[in-house]
Amino acid sequence: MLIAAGAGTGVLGALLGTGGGVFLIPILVLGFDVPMHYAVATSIVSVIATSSAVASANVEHGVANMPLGMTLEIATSLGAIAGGLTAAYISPAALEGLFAATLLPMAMMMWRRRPPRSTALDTAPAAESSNSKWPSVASRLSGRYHDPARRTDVVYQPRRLWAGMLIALVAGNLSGLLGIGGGVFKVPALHLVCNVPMKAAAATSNFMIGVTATASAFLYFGRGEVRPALTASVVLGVLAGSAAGYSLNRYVGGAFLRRLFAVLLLGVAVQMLVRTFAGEG
Amino acid sequence: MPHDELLEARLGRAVHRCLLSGVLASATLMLLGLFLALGQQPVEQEPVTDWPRLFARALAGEGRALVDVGLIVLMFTPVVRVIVLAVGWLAARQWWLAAVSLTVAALLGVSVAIGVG
Repeated sequence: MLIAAGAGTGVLGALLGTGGGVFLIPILVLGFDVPMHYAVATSIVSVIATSSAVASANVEHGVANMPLGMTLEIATSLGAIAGGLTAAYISPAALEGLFAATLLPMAMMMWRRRPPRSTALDTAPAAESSNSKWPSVASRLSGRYHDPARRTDVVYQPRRLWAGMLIALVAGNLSGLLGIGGGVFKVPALHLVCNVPMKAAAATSNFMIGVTATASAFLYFGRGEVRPALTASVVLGVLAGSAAGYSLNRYVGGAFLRRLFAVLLLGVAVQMLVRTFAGEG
Repeated sequence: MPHDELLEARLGRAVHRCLLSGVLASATLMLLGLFLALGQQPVEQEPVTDWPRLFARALAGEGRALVDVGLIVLMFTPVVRVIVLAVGWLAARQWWLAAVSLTVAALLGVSVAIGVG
């Protein structure tokens, strides 16, 4: 049962660019009576598994934007370490209420958002990257990948990096505090704020969340909160599910992913609001 | 193919191999550990502090220790991935990206030191 729960989490995590912690923690706590802090620790390690398995394929196919991901990882790692260290001192109920209040408008924006404008091949951003001796930060972070669902190459240049860094910092902090990968924040931030196409946003988020989770996983591991048998069972399921999710992702369109993600955000927000008002945090 | 794209493709393959190796090694260790643990006496849960002893127990075929080592390998996989990227970008004289990677590696080092140091 634990392996099956991990597999389901892995499929959704691989498809949507989240680590799957938002699904896994409620399943472990409500379905298997696992205490909250052990569920959080298990989730953090399973996020590393999803990220490593999916990112290994995404970077090979060029969908994950490694320069952009690494740049945002500075903010996200700082946030995750702070979150992991302060997890014991902050009221989870207050945090989850704030989390839910932020996710609700994001869900609406993701549902209604039109695809960001991607440039045609061999246009200015890509050319600047290879020709200029001192390219701008934005052009260093520009990306290009082949979308098999649309049968076309997509070229883009991220915008508003400062806003992306700020959101990555918050996402990292929530990752450390709540045991999630933070993908529910990173994917909308990359797509809506930084103008990264949905598939590249999901792949880049998946690339980043492994490092985010690692930054706090060692803190949980050091405290003895990672239960080996429980975590290993879930992780093995997650790895199998991630492989299946990655295969599915190649045939699913960006618009479908965006809508699916909006539904996920709404579900998580409602779940957290209920927990906040029920005082379960 | 432009030089930048060639470099990214080569780095992508290196990161792919690094992540895949980490995932396969950790999955193998955890599977083997869980399988062996089924036939062994349960060991009481305690934080890992004595690393040489943990590896010695794993080499001796103790299931629980093998699972722990598998988890540690999995947790170090993204750390190694960051180092691979830092080395790759340093070799390509992409100073700005190399500095970004080394900063992330340093932050992860702080986390490892606080958590299990």
